[in-house]
Amino acid sequence: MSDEVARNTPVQTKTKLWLDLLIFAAFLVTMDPRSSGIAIHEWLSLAMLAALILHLLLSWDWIVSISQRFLGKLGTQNRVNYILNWLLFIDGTLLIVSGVMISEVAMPFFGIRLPEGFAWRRLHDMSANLGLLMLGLHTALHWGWIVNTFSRYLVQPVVRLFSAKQKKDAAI
Amino acid sequence: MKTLGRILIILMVFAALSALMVVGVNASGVSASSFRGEGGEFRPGGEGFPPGFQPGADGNRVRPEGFEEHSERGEGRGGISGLMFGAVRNIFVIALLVTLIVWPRSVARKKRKMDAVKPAITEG
Ligand code: HEM
Ligand code: HEM
Repeated sequence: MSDEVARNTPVQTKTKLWLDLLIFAAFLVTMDPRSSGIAIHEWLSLAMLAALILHLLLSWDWIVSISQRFLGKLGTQNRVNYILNWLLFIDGTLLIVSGVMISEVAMPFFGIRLPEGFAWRRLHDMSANLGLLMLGLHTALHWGWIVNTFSRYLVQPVVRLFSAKQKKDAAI
Repeated sequence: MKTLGRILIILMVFAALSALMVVGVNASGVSASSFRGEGGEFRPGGEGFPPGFQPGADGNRVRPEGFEEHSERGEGRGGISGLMFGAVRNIFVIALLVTLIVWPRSVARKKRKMDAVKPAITEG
């Protein structure tokens, strides 16, 4: 996230890191329903909706701040991120709506039967592929944050743990 | 309370977009079950089934090409090897995009730094 918006606390940043890793892994599983099976595909992607809401809640200050300044003076990186995030949200909505329309497990489980429509299948496939590309862009635009946070909260603690152990062993 | 309000805002935007999409697809008429894709693709509910086709019967499910029933049970390209194939392909797409964007940016940043240092050296 940019310096133009208030920084997160370490706990919030760590929560973001684990949540983003979880969403990323879940996205990869849902992108391949042939391997996971339709049931896992449908329930996991519906559960991802809750994770994505949390993802947005953790970036709420950024969303409000950029929304207010979007038409005024704003850095290119923030502007591009903001537009891409909206496109991701719209594509994600289409993905879930079309998924619900062609659902074979989750909707019948709730007793809901929707009419067959091949267009929804096409839209589902198309929005999934588009989502993959946009997630690639989203990841690229946050690469600095990902590398820094990974290093600070995952790599460095492990390195510190080993060097402390080595020092202790050397002292004995 | 504040969080609940925010969740409600997200859900409301989600619901509004969903409604627009359903109305849009229905109005365009392509959601009709007799929809035919390019190349005269056949889908149930159309003007007729090929001989021997029973809609909904096993093996006659409407699936995009390659989406076979047995894969769901972990056979064929399914299972662990199938998951690896799909996931590896998707990770490759993401990695490619990250490389294409991050690498030129980092080269440009290094060049800018070097350019800033050079005049300082020549001046010194
Ligand atoms: C598979 C899904 C996703 C993953 C793995 C992911 C991952 C990330 C990561 C690593 C960050 C950086 C954290 C930070 O700067 O604080 C981030 C930020 C953000 N993401 Fe996502 N994201 C996903 C989907 C989405 C979607 C669908 C939206 C839709 C609106 C979204 C909106 C945002 C926003 C608003 C930010 C913070 C602002 C910024 O862009 O700098 N993300 N995401
Ligand atoms: C993050 C969300 C989702 C992603 C990334 C995703 C991705 C995909 C992909 C890549 C396919 C294969 C399409 C093809 O091979 O042509 C697929 C098929 C399918 N998806 Fe999703 N999907 C998501 C959400 C959902 C949801 C929420 C549901 C239903 C509740 C759903 C139901 C289905 C069904 C029933 C199929 C099989 C279609 C068929 O038999 O042709 N999906 N999805």
